[in-house]
Amino acid sequence: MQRVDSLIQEYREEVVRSLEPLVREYYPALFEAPDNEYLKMVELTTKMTLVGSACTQLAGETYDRRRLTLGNLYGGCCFLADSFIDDFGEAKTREYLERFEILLTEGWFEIKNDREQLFYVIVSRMFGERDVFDSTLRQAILRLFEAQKRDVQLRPRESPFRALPRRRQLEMLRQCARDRGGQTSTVLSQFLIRDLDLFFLHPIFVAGGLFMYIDDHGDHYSDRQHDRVTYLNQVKDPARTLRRIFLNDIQRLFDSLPENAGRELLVAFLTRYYLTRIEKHRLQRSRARSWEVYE
Amino acid sequence: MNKGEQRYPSSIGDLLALKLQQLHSEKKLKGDQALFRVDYRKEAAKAPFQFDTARSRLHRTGCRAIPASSRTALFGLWRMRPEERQYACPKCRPSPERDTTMDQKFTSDLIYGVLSILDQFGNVLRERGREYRSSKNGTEAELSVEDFYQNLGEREKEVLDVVLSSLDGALKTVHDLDRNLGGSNGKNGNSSDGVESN
Repeated sequence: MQRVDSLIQEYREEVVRSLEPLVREYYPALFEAPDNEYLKMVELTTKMTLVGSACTQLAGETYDRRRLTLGNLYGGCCFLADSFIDDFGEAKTREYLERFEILLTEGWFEIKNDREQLFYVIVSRMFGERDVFDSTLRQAILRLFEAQKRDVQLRPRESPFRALPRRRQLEMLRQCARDRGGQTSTVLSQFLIRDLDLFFLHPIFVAGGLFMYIDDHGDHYSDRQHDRVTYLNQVKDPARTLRRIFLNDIQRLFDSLPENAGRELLVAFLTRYYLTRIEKHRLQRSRARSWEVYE
Repeated sequence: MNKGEQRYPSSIGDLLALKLQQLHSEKKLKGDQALFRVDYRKEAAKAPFQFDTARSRLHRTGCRAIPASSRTALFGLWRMRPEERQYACPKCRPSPERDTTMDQKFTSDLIYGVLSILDQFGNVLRERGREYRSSKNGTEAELSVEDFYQNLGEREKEVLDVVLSSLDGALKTVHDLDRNLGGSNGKNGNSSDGVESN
């Protein structure tokens, strides 16, 4: 756990070194954006970089400078893509999904503001660092997009999803969270490691899914405030449900992965993340407001 | 992005990437081809194997034992290694001999190789190309280049065409940038920080 703490500090500095010049050049208003958005971007990217480091070491590779840069770019990309989908209302969300689909199917992205410009520069730098014609990476990117799209489709109050039996709704929400997280970590690992052995795909997918369940539990109250349904904010006893998922998935990771520094780092990070999000959830419940600490 | 203000990125790669999108949105590119297609869903559905990442199970494509909940976590694979038998579905029993390869991979790699050189040395190559084309070796090479082009798939041709046609615009931007930087000492109405106001 101490190793995770020191790595987080080390990687945070690297994240700032990578992203700050890009933000300064392409979207300086982000530094002044409300709710400490830039800091949130740094924190999410730091976590992503740490997971990237763990996945790379799992596969017996070195998390070198190029991979570190790719991890940082990917974190920034995920943060901005999530914000496009979550922060600008339903109509904008639909519009962004359509434009992302064009980006993925044709390569074109009409840049309308500085935020989008920063996003596109990050995407093009990532693609420049890695052969995007690699078939598994391409599929992973599309799978991630599809998972995000499904998540959005479940949101509206008038969605047919809301008319389904509760048991079916929970199944779909659980699968959706699994895919959002699982595909995020799969894309990350595919960007970082060429020809990743099939052996690692499942545990990396499981780890990503677990990350998302934990994240959703931490965002329980803010998600409900914004009418976003997730598996963890719909089950009767979220803390107990998350505990069961956590113990089960951590055990699976421990049993299935080779004993190496990557496994230790991944398990320690997920454990730390679980504990901090349980605390975040508890604090939000008692204060009935968003937690202002992002780390 | 403020309208009426044109900024030039400090990185040439960013500049080219942004310029390509700008040229497309201003409809200044020839035709309406795709720049590149990340979407590989159709190809993946036809791959001989499907790997279920949610359950760590390898299936033949079309296997009925693939659970519905895994359909969103499948990855098409074109080859199976002998050591991957441990993941084989007991129902459809995929085996390595069904191995196939994607015929487009080679040409895609070639295109990217060519593009990466164009990206870095476009200006020099253009000048050099003019001289080389008129030489004896150049005349002979022209035939093999045409041959190479004819053998590309439709998608690769589209990618190559659109990028080559866009290169003109991108190179013009680089020239503009050079000119602006050269004239930034109070000349041509540019501000001292290199930001050009229209």
